[in-house]
Amino acid sequence: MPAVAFALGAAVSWAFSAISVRVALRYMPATTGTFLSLISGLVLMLLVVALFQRGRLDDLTLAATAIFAAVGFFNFILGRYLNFLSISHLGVGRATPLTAATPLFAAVLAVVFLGESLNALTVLGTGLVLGGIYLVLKQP
Amino acid sequence: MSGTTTTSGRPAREGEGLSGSALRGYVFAFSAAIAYAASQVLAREGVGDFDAPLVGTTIALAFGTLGFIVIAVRNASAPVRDFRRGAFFFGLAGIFSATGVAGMFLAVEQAEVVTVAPISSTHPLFTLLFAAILLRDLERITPRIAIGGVLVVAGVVLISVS
Repeated sequence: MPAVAFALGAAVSWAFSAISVRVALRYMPATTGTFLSLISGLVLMLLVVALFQRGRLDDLTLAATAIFAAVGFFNFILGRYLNFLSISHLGVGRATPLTAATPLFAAVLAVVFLGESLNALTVLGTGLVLGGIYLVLKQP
Repeated sequence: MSGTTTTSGRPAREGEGLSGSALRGYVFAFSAAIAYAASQVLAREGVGDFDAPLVGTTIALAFGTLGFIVIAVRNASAPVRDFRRGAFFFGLAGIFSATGVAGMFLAVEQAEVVTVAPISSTHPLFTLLFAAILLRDLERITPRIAIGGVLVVAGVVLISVS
């Protein structure tokens, strides 16, 4: 099933990204590195859009552009920079499970700001995430 | 590895205790998770207005790159040990990250999010596995960290399908 292969490919790509960051931090600080990673990613994404989705730019509204600008601020300026800083301080093994808790925080924000409701699976998932975080944080 | 690093990025060994550096690392990690979460919630609004998430992500990445110039310029004097190697691996990280995003969107185009999200959520497990194999001189993945990672991923999978 191609969808499963693509999703699995995404997971492996993100893992290699984190490993590359860990190695890169031996040679360069997180600030410069974040900038370089943003540039290389942007070049690739621009190529993909130019080749496959150029026509979709015509549908772009001002409101959507503003929202994507805000997404860029939270995801690529704050999120990526803080993620790289956390890897430089903790190592990739300890930082990754902590930043992977993102869906837990997204669920909380969605409940607070979008009025979405929690269900049993979300509560159970939250418990597991918190248990995992506890193990990662727990000192030997 | 117990969570501390030196300024050169060497992870500290188990038993070294919780240092100020480790504490900052935890704060950075949770702040990153909250920032990513805010971007996900915002992106849902953006995709509602404009149904081309790959283009939307590229626009967000363009704004992020432009905005980060300010931070990069302010820290331009930070010492760089080996620019070519650093640039190579950070460049690789950006390409892998973008490939992951593109793969995720390609997957979502062919199957429902409820099928795709749990699979893509397993990336921390791959990270821990690759770190244990490829970064043996830099990192020590303890059983406790591995079990913690598995629990976090299991919880995230449940949240993403709920």
